[in-house]
Order: sequence, then structure tokens, then C-alpha cells
Amino acid sequence: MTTGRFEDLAGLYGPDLTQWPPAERAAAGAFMAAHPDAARRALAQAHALNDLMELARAAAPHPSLFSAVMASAPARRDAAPRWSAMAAAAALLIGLGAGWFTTDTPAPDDEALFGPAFAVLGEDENGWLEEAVR
Amino acid sequence: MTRPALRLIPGRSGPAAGAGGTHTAADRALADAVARGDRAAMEALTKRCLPMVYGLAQRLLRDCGEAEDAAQDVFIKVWRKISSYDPERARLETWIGRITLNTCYDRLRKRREAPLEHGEAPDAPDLNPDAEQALGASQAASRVRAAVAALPERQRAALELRHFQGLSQAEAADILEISEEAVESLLARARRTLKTALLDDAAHMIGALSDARGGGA
Repeated sequence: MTTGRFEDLAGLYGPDLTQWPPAERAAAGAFMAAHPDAARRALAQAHALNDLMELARAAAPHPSLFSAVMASAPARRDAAPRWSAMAAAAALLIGLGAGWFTTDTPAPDDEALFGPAFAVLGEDENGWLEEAVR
Repeated sequence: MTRPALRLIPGRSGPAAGAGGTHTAADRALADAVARGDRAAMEALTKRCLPMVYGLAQRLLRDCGEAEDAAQDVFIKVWRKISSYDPERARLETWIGRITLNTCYDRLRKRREAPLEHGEAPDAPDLNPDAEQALGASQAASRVRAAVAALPERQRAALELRHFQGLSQAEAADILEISEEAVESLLARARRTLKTALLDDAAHMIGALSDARGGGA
């Protein structure tokens, strides 16, 4: 690796060799061992450029922005009442209750209505059935 | 006016972060909790990603107020779309970074389409030299900020993600939806442009800083 190449890489990736492409690190290490002064100068310049760039670091977000973001967060979904499901369940229960308590069930007297319908069947007509049962 | 800053929480993702499988499981668990509306999970996600979202928005929009608006827009989209997040395809930072980038590009496009009001340039640096001096900051700082602000959008985005947010080359490439080589190219051009733009001032500043570090330039 030449001094120019080492300076280019230091300018591009900064002074921390762990941030350099893995393929370049071994050659960079060899260059540092062979040319310590040139390497130190290049890395110091890269440090200095990084320091200059730090002056342009964007301001950190103000805590009020965090609060504003959290204010826009939706409420917990499984804690919120599911009004539509609850309304449907309530309507079903009301419907069942109303049906149960308001509909007349057949009174014993109503059985008399069925009596004549079967009374027309005489014993003769039922004889075959009785025999089959025996 | 000086405002207290929201600090980065330790343990956020970065180039030295651990194995992908662990990240995938952790990101899935966090995203699921956010999708259920778990308040603590939402706070954790916001603390983890808001500095990156706001930093990227500031870098691209070059306006603190608009960057705050954009950051809120980003998180509204995150709350709405979190159930569609797939941890197998991207880390949470990458996914949210893309949303941030698209939100900022939308705003920049609208800004370009909107007529200029009172002849004001829309892409002015966030701090002009007069304001900077009024705040007592150094002239060098304002020159560096102006030089960074003057970089093309893609170079600013790459610089913010790689240099200021400390994301890996692969993560920056995922967010920018370009190859790692293209990220490297953007960064190289950005750093060269900065060196050129700052050459007059940088010569003695870099020399002084370099001497202080023992470089003996």
C-alpha cells in the first residue's frame, strides 16, 4: 500500500481501522508497521477532519418532541373496550331473554287440540301396530 | 435559547451491534408489543429511533421546525404500519429510516413545487452566520455546518447515517436503497467536497488539531 492510498482510505473511512473495509485492513496494518510516521500523520488528519465534522452534528431532539411523538401513539388495543362486540353480545342476550320470557309455551290444555287429530284413528287401524310391537 | 437535549440511550444499534438473529427476535418482540399498543414498547422504540429520525430529517430538511414536524409524521406512520413490519427483511432502524427518508423527500418535493414566499431560499442552512455569532459559536462551526448543508441530499443522508448516526455501511445502504459501494462513493464525494470547501480554514485548524493529537503535520 502506498502513502497516497493510505491517506485516501484514512480520509474516506476515518481514523478507526475497524471501520475500514476488511480487505484493506491487513495491508493498512503492514503500512503502519513499515511507515509509522506517515501513517500517524494520515490518521491524525483523519481525526482532525472528523473533529471538524463534529461541529456540524445535528442537534439532539428536544424532550418536548419525544412527548409529542408519544402523544400521537394509539391507545393500547387489548385494553380498550370493544364496543361493537360488546353491543352485539348485549343485543343477543336481550333478544334471548325477551324470547324466553315473552313467548307462550304450550299449556297442558292445548294437548286437547291434538287429541281429536289422533282420535280418528280407530283401534282397528292401530291393530297392526300393536301386533308389531308384540 | 438553549434547550435541554434528549440523550441517546445506551445500547442502540450500531456497527458493533450483535448477531442478526438476536436482532431479528428482539425487533419482532418490540414490533409486536408496539402493534398491541404497549405503551412501554412505544416509548422504547421512540427513544431508540427518534435521534436517528430527527437527525436525518434535520440533515435533509435543514430546518429544525420542519424536522420536528417530519419526525412526528414518521412516527404516526410507524404506529399505523407497524403490523406490516417484517423483521426478516430489515432491522427496525432500517425500516424507520426508510420511512424517514421518504417523508423528507416528500417534503422537499413539495417545497420545490411550492412558490417561493418573499424570495426566501428554501434550502438555507439551519443557522446563518449572523445567528451563529449572536449565539457566540465559532465562525469555524458555522462554516463547517454551511459546508455540510451545501452537500447534495444523498451525500448529506449518507453522511448523517454513517458518520453521525454510526450505522454500518450495510444498514445505510438498506435505508438509502442503494449498494454498499454506492454508499462508499457518496461518502467519499462528501468528505472530499468538505475538505475542498473548508480548505482555507481547515488548513490551520486541521494542522492544529493534528498537532494536538501528535501527528506533527
